[in-house]
Amino acid sequence: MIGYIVRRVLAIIPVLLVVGIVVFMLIHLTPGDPAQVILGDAATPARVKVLRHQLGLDQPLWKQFLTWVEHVCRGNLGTSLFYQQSVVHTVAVRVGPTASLAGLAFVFSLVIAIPSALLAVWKRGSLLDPIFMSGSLLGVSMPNFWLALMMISLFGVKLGWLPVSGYVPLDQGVGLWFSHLLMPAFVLAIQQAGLIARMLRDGMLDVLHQDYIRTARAKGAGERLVLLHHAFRNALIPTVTVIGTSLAGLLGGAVVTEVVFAIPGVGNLIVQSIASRDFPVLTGAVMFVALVYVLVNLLIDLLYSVLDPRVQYR
Amino acid sequence: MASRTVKSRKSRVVDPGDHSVGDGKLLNVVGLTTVFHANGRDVRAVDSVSFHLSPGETVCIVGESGSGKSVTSLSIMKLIENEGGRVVAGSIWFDGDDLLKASNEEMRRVRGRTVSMVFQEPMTALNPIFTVGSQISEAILLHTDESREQAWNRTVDMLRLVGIPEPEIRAKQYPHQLSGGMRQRVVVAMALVCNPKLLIADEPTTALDVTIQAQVLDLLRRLKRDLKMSILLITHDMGVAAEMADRVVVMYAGNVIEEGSVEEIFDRPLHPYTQGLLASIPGRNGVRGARLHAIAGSTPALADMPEGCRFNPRCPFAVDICRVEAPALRLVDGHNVACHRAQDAPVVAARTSTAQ
Ligand SMILES: Nc1ncnc2c1ncn2[C@@H]1O[C@H](COP(=O)(O)OP(=O)(O)OP(=O)(O)O)[C@@H](O)[C@H]1O
Ligand SMILES: [Mg+2]
Repeated sequence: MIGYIVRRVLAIIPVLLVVGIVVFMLIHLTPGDPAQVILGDAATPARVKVLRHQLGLDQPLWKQFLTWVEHVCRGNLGTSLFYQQSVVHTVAVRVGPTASLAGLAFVFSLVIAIPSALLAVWKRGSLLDPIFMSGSLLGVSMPNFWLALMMISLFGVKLGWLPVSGYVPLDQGVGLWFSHLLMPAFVLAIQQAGLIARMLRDGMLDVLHQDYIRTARAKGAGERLVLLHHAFRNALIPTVTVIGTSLAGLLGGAVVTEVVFAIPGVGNLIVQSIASRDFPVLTGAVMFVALVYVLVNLLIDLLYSVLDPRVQYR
Repeated sequence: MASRTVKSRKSRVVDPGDHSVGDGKLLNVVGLTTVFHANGRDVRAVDSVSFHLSPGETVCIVGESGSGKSVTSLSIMKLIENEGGRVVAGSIWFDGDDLLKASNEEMRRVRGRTVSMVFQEPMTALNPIFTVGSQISEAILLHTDESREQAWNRTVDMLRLVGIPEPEIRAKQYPHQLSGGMRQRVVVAMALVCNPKLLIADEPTTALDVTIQAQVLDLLRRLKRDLKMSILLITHDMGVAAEMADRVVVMYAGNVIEEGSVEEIFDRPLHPYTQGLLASIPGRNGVRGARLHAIAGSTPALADMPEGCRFNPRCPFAVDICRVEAPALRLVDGHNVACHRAQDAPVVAARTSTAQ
């Protein structure tokens, strides 16, 4: 088990390198010049040329690339072209808001998904099931930005119950932190909840046809025990995949939601760095997202072995 | 609490003149009819089935695949609704109560405590993500006030009783770590841990290889004696029936077509279908290993049952009346049979040639 984890963690390194390379290539092959962006449209060609030289952008691409790889291997992701801050720091200060939003959205989505899926399975065959199905479909397919704007105009503008946008760190008060995140987290949760609930419901209905459920009933287990203990625990195994993908997606930065609610998270940073051609920051941010995905996937695989005794890692 | 409601209900629903109560029968199935809904109409998988079982008896239900054996047993446990079926007529008297009138909660207290069931497939009958010990303990905890430790100790004892070596270790293992024979022993242990009065075993050995099969049958016989229970054993193997049964109920296409003591059925089979089943036992009458004499044709589909006797298209002795009138179960020569021609010369002659 320990050996397995060590091997998986080591395998992250090449994954991140490949991601970095791909992003590096994409950036440099798309048009747009950061020096021009920094100096603005009024800059003279001569000044742009000087800045390009200072930033190392006048070097041939392969040379820039090698320099970058060399720095990355020494743990140096470079410096932002705009903020005069290291990339690591620039990304790191964005992790707090994103993690807060993701954590809250994740909790919300489970709190919505699990009870509603259980209810749908418990009342299977009744009118509740089609209601549940259309509800989950609606949740999945409702555009984030639309729901976000609707909520902002209702709860933020019309009723004035919640702040319209922005972010307050946790250490400046839980209440403020929570009230700023409530709407964006809910918007994100609705979509994830639709996916998770649907998966859990389908999984449980599937499990309910298994022989061991009949065995459980034959020994006198009531419907509640059958559903909550026998069926739920088994259906959780396939559902964990969806839950994990959803968590990784949230932690990787919910771009649209962060932009709409002006939350200074990783998603917002990615958008900004694309707009401003801040190559090092963009690469660093995307590598962070990749790292989150790989780590969450590892976590899920480990969770499998906890949930399913048939899964053993060596 | 539940037993009190059951008792009060008994006095309400049972007609004192009803012969099915208080005559010493443990289980009395009367006119059981179970349907499945298919293509917009109900088809009868089990049709007016009646049979009974006395305390301490082993009754075997035999019949080809699709004859309604499993549907009958699941109907008795009231588990058929979970499979999409519905009991539309009949009574299932168990120990003086009609199970068909019991509430879900009353039924839940019956299952696993007074009536237990063992299923055919040991590979899938156990929940893969819980230890076998916890699955057995669950049955104890469901029906008694015992603590977890007490239940666990009893679980280990029960595993030892069903012949599982190192039961303390095995109890902590998961189903996939056990062989098929072991798993079936676990399933038997789970069914018997609350000391039920009746064990319904639906082809408990069909999925096992021959030596394991014999071991499990031995186990059932021994436990039946030690725990003083009755067994309703479902099988399509006449050899198993001969070995285990006190009485035999023969089913065909959802009907009971013959019923009697094991000697009666094996020595004087009256129904041509029973005769066919007996002739298909390898090594029976004539040369050992002779080619199996299977009955030509197969069980009719539920949706198009033949008119008259349901066996008539396959019956070598069928005459006109067999094709129009369904024969009722009647007493002939000491046991019950549903055949118009049970006493006619050709059938009688066939009887002696198939019997030992
Ligand atoms: N869930 C179901 N839905 C529809 N029809 C069913 C269902 N279960 C059983 N049947 C039908 O009921 C009839 C009796 O089936 P049953 O399973 O009782 O047969 P069996 O005697 O147990 O056979 P086997 O030896 O194969 O187990 C069959 O025709 C079968 O197709
Ligand atoms: Mg069956």
